[in-house]
Amino acid sequence: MNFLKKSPWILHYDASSCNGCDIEVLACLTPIYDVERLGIINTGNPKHADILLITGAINAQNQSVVQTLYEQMPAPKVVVAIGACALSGGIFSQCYNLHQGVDSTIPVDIYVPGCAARPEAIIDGVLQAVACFNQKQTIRSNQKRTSHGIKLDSHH
Amino acid sequence: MFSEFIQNPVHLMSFLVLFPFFSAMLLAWMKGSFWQSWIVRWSSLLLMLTSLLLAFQTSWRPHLFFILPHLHWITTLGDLIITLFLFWIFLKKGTRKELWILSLLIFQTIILLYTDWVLGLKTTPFPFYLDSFSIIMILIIGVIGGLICIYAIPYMKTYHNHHPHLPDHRRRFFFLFFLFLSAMTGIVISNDLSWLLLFWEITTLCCFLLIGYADDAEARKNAFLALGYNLIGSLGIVITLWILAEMHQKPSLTHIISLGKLGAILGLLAAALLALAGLAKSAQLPFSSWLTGAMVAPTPVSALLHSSTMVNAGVFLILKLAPIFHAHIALGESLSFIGGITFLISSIIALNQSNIKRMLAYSTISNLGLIVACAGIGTPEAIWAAIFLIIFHAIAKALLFQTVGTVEHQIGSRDIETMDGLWIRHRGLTLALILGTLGMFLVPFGMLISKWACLQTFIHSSPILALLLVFGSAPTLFFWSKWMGKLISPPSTPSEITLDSSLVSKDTWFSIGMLMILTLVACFLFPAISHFWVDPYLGLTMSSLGPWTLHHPLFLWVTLILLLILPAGFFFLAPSYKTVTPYLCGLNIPATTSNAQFQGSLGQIHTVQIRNYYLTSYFKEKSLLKIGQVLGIIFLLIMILINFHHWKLSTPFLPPPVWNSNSPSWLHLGMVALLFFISAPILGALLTGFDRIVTARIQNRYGPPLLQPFYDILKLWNKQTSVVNPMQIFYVWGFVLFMLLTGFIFFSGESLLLVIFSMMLGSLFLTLAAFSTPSPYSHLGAERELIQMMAYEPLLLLTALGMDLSTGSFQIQTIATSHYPLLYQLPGFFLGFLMLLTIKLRKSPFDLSTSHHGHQELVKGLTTEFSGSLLALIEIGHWYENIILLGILCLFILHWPWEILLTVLTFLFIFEILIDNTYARFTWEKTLQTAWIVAALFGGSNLLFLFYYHSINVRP
Repeated sequence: MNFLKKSPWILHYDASSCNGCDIEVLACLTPIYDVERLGIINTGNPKHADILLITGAINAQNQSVVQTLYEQMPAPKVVVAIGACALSGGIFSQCYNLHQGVDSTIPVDIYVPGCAARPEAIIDGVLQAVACFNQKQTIRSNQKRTSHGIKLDSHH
Repeated sequence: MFSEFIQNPVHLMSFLVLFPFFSAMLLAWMKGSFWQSWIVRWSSLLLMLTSLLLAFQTSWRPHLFFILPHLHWITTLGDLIITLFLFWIFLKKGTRKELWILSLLIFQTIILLYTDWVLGLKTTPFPFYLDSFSIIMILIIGVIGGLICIYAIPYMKTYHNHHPHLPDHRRRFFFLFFLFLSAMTGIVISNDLSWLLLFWEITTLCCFLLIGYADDAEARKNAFLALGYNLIGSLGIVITLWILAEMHQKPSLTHIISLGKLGAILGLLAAALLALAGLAKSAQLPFSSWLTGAMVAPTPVSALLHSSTMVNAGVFLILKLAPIFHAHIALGESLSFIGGITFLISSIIALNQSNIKRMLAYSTISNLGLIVACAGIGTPEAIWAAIFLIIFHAIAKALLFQTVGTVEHQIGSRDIETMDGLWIRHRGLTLALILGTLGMFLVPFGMLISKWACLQTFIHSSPILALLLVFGSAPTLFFWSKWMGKLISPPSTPSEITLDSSLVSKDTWFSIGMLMILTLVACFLFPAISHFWVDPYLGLTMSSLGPWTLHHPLFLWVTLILLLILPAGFFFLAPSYKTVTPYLCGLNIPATTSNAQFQGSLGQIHTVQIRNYYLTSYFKEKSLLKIGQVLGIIFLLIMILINFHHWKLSTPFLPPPVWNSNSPSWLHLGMVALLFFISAPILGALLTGFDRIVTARIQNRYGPPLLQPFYDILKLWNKQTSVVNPMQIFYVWGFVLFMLLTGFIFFSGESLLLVIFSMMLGSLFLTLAAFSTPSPYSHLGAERELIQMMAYEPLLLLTALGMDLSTGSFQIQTIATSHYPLLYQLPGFFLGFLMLLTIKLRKSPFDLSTSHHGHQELVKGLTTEFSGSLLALIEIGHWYENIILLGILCLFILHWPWEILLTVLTFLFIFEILIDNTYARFTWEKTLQTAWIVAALFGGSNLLFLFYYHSINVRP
């Protein structure tokens, strides 16, 4: 049984969001939505997390930060982009400093649209992300079988 | 002829005094560094071998007196020469400020001459003796002193290379070293007080000249300070001689002890005055500043003063007089209070020190305080503990000082903050430092065995001393662990990465290596040492034997073997892992991976600076030292003046507890281990699941399923394990294994103290795991964890002490089968333990180091740098820990029917969760303050009440 389904831990990163989506992400933790009943925990630490939630578009300053955080997450991991800006840059897409959506920098698995995305949509996105894990786990175990050294390099 | 010589202990004995003296003369005369190092090396080896030979020769006949031809004039002549020499030094180097020392010297000489020439001392029939205790001391002086001499050869060479402006007085230096060893051997075999005084003055003189070796203003000032304080001490011996001469008594130690035991005021007063001499020599509280000042001397001098000579002379003399202190409570208690207060205050002051040599110095003072406290109590168990403290302390301190000295020459600094990453820069030396540190305070090693014995003794003779010990050992844990953390953490700047290991010479390695082996061997062989040397001495002086519980050190050996196997296992069964950069909010600079650098908001590059806590805003060295000195002087005066009021108190001693000697079978132990191994994580996980549901309900949420912790662990186990430093894996496994061992010890009904010590060892591994990464969050978490450990350790130890007072045993088997629920007698401890549980379960307001509720970087602290299976292991280890703690909680109420027991436990657990959800997090200052106040108030008052309750109603 894959226990990733039962306990997806989240790292939430605010790229250059207007804070609208961030508030909706935090709303998921409140008693009304209570994501902990699905085993979801907001860890605030890439090394503990399985899912990277990103709100807002990637800009010149935070691109390397997003890359580093993604690097530091242990495999298997999935990325969920939340809100119009994270998908494509949204209303900021014409800004001089912007790299558009999250997939300009790291591979994104699930896209959650909305401005701001509703908590129900965010929770649904996370649960769909969980479904991706099965696939990723298989890739990882294949990789494990082929490498025998001490150091396992990052999978991508 | 030769075989006759080596079979006669008296010959060997005289050889051990005269041979170093001869070597000293030869060294003073010989020129040329080749011959110098040749003589030092071979004389030291010969000295070590002879002392070992003597120890084996005499292990079968533990007590010898021997006569010397009437050589009384030598002592008078020797004293006069020393006095004249000191006068000469004063004329050359003394200043106005040191006039008090001069007047002390004059006063002392006048009394001595009056006693000698006008009154005339009686002759002692046996001026020298040899018993097992002297032999232990001779072994320490010969073996450890010899090793330090060998170490000094390369050290002094480098020292003069580093300080080219200093004149090279190496001839004088080595002359003084060997003279010192000769005089120390003299002290431990002198029965006649005038001989004792001569040797005593020689050590003072050597110490004075060695401290002043550098001959600058600071060295001179500190040398004179050491001289002054030690002269106050020797005034005690001189006055004793004078009083004895006035009363026409023999000036011999054995005579004084027999007088004192009978309760003659003369004997008691002499004991108090001699104790004064011992206190000054071993740097106890009003006198402590000379030993910290002595740090200006080259490191081999510190090693010599702290481990094998000087300070040991003081505690040796005091321990010799222990039978008197045992017989006269008022005198003994005031002495042991001086020791206890010294122990507490100097271990707190050691927290403040960032200069490693000063930290070691305060640790020496505090350990000597413990020895003095034991001597003041004077029961056979206390003396047993004190002798072992002397042995283990000498080995560990010699090792630490030598290694620190070598490191100082390599990195050019004594500051703890500059020692980060030493593990990467120099493996061998770091290993030596870590072994020495472990030897000072952790479970399978020597010092802790003695501390354990101390706790067992103090609780039955003086509860206030037990409190002082409990509160004093918590800071010890903190300052040693944070130093260890610094040693194993990666270096902060890449330029410091390598050190040239070829600069450490063979002599240094020989000395350090021998001491490392000795540290381990002494731990394995302590029952043998106890059997051959310590027990015969106790049998002789107290007609009793040492504490029997410690004669079956099965679990200690298991711990030691596990500690040795663990690194081997780690290197042979290397797990797979991925190396990643430390967490710095994603701002890492990719090029630099070994050290933590990040990009600031304006683009500039910052290097992470991690400094330890020194708690200077909380404990202040100067004011604490003042308080200590005042208390020291008060108790010193009480100790001396009390004898004029010859109090005869009937002693409220408890009958010795009956130990449960039938050991459980191997099959039974195996079953217990297996049961704990499997059931504790399951139970722990269910409890955590329950906790999370209750928390959710309190917050008006639905919450996760009960089995959620299992899902989390199984998920983490299957994830990739990424580390910053592969050593993290080693430390985390250490944490889990020692928690497992702790549970095993607990459920097999062994000693509760051993459970606590072993648990501390486990927790230490967890902090080391966090220290071994360069992440600031992880370091901060580790430091806070150490502060938490310092906060709850007194509570934990007090709980054990309370249970012992109530049931008469530390054995969990006995505690669990008591006739009544312990809660009735230990309500204060119970409340204290609940507080401890809140800290240990990582519940708010005490979840400083890492929190289950954390959604921020700082709050994840300790666990920031762990992922995948390592995080799972930490969680599992934590579950084991929780089950052990709940087990201890159950001991309080074990006699109730199981339904009530379960209800009460559930209620308490829900209460903890409620507190968790209703309190905001405290600062570390507040945590420390609250925990210590609760420990002192609830634990302390309950302890005192129980002690006096039991001393009125003798336990059935």
